[in-house]
Amino acid sequence: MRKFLYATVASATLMLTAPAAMADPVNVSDFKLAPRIAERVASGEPLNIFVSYHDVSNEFSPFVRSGVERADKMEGVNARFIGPVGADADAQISEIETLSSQMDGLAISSVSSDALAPLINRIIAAGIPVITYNTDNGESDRLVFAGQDLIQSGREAGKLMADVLDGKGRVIITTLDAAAQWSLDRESGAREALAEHPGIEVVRTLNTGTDPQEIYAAIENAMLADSKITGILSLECCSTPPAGEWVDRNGRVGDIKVVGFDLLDQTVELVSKGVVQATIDQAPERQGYEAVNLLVSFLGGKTIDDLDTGVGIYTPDNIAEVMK
Amino acid sequence: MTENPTAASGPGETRPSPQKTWSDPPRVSLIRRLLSAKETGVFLALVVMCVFLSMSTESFLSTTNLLNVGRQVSLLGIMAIGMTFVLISGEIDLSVGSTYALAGLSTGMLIVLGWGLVPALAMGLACGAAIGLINGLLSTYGRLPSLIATLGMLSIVRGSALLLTDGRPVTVNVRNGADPAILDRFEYMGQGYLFGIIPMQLVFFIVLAILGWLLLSRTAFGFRVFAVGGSEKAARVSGIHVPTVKIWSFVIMGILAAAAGILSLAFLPSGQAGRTGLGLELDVIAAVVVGGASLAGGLGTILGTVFGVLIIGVLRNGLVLLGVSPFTQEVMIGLVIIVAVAIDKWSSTRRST
Amino acid sequence: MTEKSILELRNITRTFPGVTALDDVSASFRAGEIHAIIGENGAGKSTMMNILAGELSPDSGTLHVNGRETTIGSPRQSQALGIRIVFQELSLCQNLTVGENVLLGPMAAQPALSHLNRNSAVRAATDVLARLGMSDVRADTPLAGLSVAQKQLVEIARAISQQVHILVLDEPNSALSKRETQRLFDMVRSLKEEGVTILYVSHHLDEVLALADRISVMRDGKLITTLDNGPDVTVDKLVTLMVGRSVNAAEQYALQCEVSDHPAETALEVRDLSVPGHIRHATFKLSKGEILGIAGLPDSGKDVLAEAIFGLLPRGGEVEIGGIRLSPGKPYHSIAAGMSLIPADRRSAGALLSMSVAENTVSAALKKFTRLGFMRGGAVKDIANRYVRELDARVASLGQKIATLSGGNQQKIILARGLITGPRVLILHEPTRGIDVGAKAEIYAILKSLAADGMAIMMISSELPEVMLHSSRVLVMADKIVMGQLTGAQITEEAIMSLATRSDQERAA
Repeated sequence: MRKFLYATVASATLMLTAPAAMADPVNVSDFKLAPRIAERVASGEPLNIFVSYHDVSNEFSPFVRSGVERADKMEGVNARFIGPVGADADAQISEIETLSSQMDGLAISSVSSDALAPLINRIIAAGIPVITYNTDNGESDRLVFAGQDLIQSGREAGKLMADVLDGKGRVIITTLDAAAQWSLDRESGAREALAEHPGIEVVRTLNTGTDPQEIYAAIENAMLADSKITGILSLECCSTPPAGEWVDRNGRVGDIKVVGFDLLDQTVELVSKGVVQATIDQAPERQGYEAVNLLVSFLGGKTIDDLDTGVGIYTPDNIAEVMK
Repeated sequence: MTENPTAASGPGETRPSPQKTWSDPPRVSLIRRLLSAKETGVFLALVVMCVFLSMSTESFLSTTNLLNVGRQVSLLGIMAIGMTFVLISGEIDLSVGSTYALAGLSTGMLIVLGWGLVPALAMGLACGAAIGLINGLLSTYGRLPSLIATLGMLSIVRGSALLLTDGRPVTVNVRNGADPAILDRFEYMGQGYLFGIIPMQLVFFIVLAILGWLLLSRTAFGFRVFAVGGSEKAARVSGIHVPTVKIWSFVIMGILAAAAGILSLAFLPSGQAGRTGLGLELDVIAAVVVGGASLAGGLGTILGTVFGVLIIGVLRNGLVLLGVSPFTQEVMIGLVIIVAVAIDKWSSTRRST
Repeated sequence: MTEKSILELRNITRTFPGVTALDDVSASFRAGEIHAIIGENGAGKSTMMNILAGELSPDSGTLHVNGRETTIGSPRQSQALGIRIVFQELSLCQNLTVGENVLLGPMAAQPALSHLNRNSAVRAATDVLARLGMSDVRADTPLAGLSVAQKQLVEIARAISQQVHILVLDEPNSALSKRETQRLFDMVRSLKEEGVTILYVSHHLDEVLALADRISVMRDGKLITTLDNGPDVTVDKLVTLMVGRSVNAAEQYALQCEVSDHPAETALEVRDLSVPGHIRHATFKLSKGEILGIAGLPDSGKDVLAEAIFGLLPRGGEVEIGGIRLSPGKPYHSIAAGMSLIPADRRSAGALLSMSVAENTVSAALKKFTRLGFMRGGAVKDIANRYVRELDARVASLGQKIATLSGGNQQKIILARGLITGPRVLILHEPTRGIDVGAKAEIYAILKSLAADGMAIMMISSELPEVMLHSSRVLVMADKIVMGQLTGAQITEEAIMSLATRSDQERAA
C-alpha cells in the first residue's frame, strides 16, 4: 500500500508522454493545398476549421466542445464543433461531405476507422488538410494525431491496477462497448501491463451496456458470480462510477480496488472518498483546443507533428486539484 | 320447434339429444384451469430457467442474488406495466426510453437547483404524463399509427433531454448544490431498503404492479382497454369513447416511464442524456411480449408481464453468473425472446382449436 | 300498436364521392312495430343504419325522436336515445368472454375506477342469453370458441341487454339455423309486445312477410314506398318493387337442376375424411357436371368441410382429384390439382379488400401473369376484362377497389378468381350469403352453366332453398357425420330437416 502511494504520487506529477508517434512531421509546403484555401490564407481572412467528434451526445462532448470554443476565440479562426448524435458512422460521413466545401481544415475523431478512412482520404485529395484527435485513424492519410495513445493509456491503467493490488489478485475489466476500437485498444494495453505480473489473473471482460442501471446490474451480477475478485478495471468514464458505487455500498472499500478513467463528478467524489484508487484523465478540453491549434499552425506554415495530450493520473492524494 | 334445448344437457346424461345445437363446455378442474391459464407457459419457462440456474451455479439461489435480480428488473418492470396497457389497447410506445431519460434528468436538475423533493418529483412525473398525452393525441385524433408517432417522439424527447442538459452528465450531489436533507430522501427512494432488506426500487415495482393489476383486471377502465384492443368497432358501438381510453393508456405509460427514470437517477445519482435509457423501449416491449401480450392488441395480463420481466432479468443475471461471454449473451437473450413467444403462441393455438 | 311515430327521418340526404347513398329519404317508424326495410345491395339501407348509429351524419335533412328534432352525432348519443343496432358484420371482442361481450356497454359505462363485478355480470348475461334460447352457452367462456351462429346471437344479446326503444337488426339470421331463427323471431315478437320498435333489414322476403307489420322498400338511395303487410303483399310484389322491374319468383328459381347428361365420371373422391371435433369419417364422391349440395345445421360439421377438403385444415382420410391424392396442409397442391375454393367469409377469407378488381381476379394464378416476377399489365387486364364481362360483374373500372363493390359483385370477382386457375372441382361455401335476390339468381345461372360444361361443383350452404333448388344431389350432415343423401324428388325441406336434426346414435338405431 505504501509502496503504491509513492509510485502514484511520482507518476501523477508528470504528464506521461506516449512513445507511439506514428505520423511524420509535415509542413504545408509538402501539401497540395486547395487554391481557395491558399487564397484565404494569403488574404488573412479567418480560417474555417471544423472539428468533428464521433458522438456529440456523450459526456465528453461538452469538454471537447469547450476546447474548440476556446480555440474559436483566437484571432483569425472560425472553429466549429460538429458530429453525429450517437456514434453513427453514416451520419458523421454525410455531415462532413455536406460541409466539405466550406472547410479550410478538418479535425476528426472517427466513429469507425474503416468507415471514415476513405472519406478522410478524399477530403485530403481535395486539398483540405485533415488531422485526427481523440481517436486516431491510422488507416487514413491524416496528417498527424493529437490525443492520447489508447493502447498506452490502457497500459497505464493496467500498471496502476497492478500497483494497487501489489502484484496479485483477480481482476475484471469493464467496458460499455467491448467491441469498439477504443475499447479493444485500451483493453489490449491493460492486459499487456497486467500480464507482467504472474500473480494477477484477468478473469474476464464485462460488457456492461450503456444505461447506468444496466452497468450497475452487470457489475453486481459479475461480482456475485465470482466472490474472489479483488480488482475492477474500468476502461472508460462511464462504468467507473457504478463500479465504485457497488464497492462502496457493499462495504468492500479497500478490499476491492477500482481503477478507472476520466473525471466525471461522481468519479471525482469516489476518488476523494478513497473508494476509487485511481483514475486516468485524458484532458478532453485540451484535445479540442489542440485539434484546432494544430491545423491553424499548419496553415500558417509551421511544421506540425503528432501531439500527445497526455495521461493525467489522479489519486486520492492529488484529486483536490480538480475539486474546485 | 317446441323442444327445450337445455332439457337433455344435464351432466352424465347419456340420452341422445337431437335438439342440441351445441354441446356444453366441459367442466374444468382446477389443475386444468391452471394449466390453461394465460400465464402458464411463461411461468413454466421461468421455473425451468430458475431450476437450471440454481443447479448450475452456487450463487443464483442466494437471498442476496434473488433480491438483486428483483431490484435489477424493477425499473424495466415499472415501465412494462405501462406498456401492457398500451399494447392491450392495440397501440405501441417507442418513446419510453427517452421519456425515462428526460423525466429523470429534469427531476435531478431541479433538485440540484434547490427545488423541494415533492415539486421536483411532480415536475418529472408531469413531464412523463405530458409526453404520454402527446403520444395519445397523435395516435388518436392525429390519426398517426402509434408506431410512427412514438418513433418521432423518441427522437424529439431524447433531443430535448440533450438540449436541456447541454449533453453534460447530471449528477445529483451536495457538491453540485443539492440540499443534503432532500438528497437523503431522494436517494432513499432509489437506494434504500424497506425493513432493512427489500430494495426500495423493488418495493415500488411491487406496489405499482399491484395497482396496475387492480386497474387492468378489476376496474371498468381496464375492461375498456381490453374492449378497445379486442375490437374498436365493438367498443365504439357499445358507447366507449375509444380515443379517451387510448390516451389514458399512453398517459399511464408516460407517468410510469418517468417514475422509472426518476428512480434510476435516485439509485445512481448520475445520468447523461445521450446514454440513460438508450434502447430501453425494446427491452420493455420484449418483456411484455414474452409475458404473453399481443402486439395486435386485446391480450395481456399484468401477471404475465411480471413473469416476462423476470425472465429477462433472470436471464441477464444467469448468463453473467455462468460466465458466458458478452457477445454470446446477446445471442442467448434474442433466442430466449423468440423461444418464449413461440412456445406461448403454439400452446395458445392448441388451446383454441 | 299505436300510430304515434317514435322515430322520423325527414328529407335525409347523404352523399359520398360520386354516389348519392341517400336521396331525400323520409320515413316514419311507429312505437312497437316491426318495420322491415328491404332493397338490393347499394339501395341505401346501410347508410341509413349508420346514420341511426351515429357513425355517419346526414348532409341535409332532420331526425326526430318522439317528435323532437335530434342530432345523433356519435354512437354514444345513439345509445342514449335507446337505439341499438346489430350489424351483419360482427363487431365483437374476440379476446373477451361471452358475458363480457353481451354486457360490453353497461360494463364499460361505469366510472373508470369503479370495481367491476364480474359475477353479477355473468349472472345478468346468463339471463339475457336465456331469452335467446342460449342457456347452453356459459357466459364465462371465451367468445373465440363459439361458432359464427352463436356469435351472431351474442351480438343480438348485447343489443337487448340494455333498455332499448329502437332495435335495428341487419340480416340477423344470416348464419342461424332454422330453429335458431325461429327463436329469434319469437324474441323479436316479444320485444314488440314490450313496445320496442324493430327495424328489420333482410333479403329473406318470406321471413319479412311472416314477421313485419310494415315494409319499406328502398332502391337507389330512395325510399320507394312503405306498405302495410297483408295478404295482398307477396314476394313477387316486393321483388318487383326492389328491382324496379317485374321478375316473378318462378323465374328466380327456374334454374332447378335436372340430372346431368354427362356420364357419372368421378371428379373428386373423399374417403374417411375426419377433422378432430368437427367431422368423422365422411366418404362421398363428386361427379363431373353435377352440383352437389351440402346441408346441415351449424356445428353439424358442414362448415369445416370445404376448408378440410381444400387442405386448409388438418385432416385425416383421403381426398383425391382424378386419381391424384392431395396432401393436407397444402392448399397450393389442391389448386394445382384443379380445385378451387370460394370461402364463406368474403371479407376476411375471400377478397383482398385493399386491392383492385383486376388484382383480385388474377391473384390465384399469379404465375400465369408474371414474367420474371413482374406483373404483365396487359395480360392481367385482358383476362380480368373477360371474366368481368362473362360474369356480368358491375364495376366502374378494373382498378376499382373491391371493398367498394356491392356484395354480389364482390362475390362475382371472387368467383372469377376461383375460375381463373381452370379448376375441375369448384367448392363454394355459402355462395350467396348477404347478396341480393337479383345477384343470387345470376350466380346460380353461372354455376349451372359451369356444371353444364362439365365442372364438378360442391355447394355448402345454410340456406335451404338454395340447396334444394340448385343441387342435383344433396348430402345432409348432422352430428359430425354425413347423415344421409337425397336425390331428385327426395329433396324436400322436410326430408333435409329430418336428417339434419338426427344424432349419430339415432342413426345407428
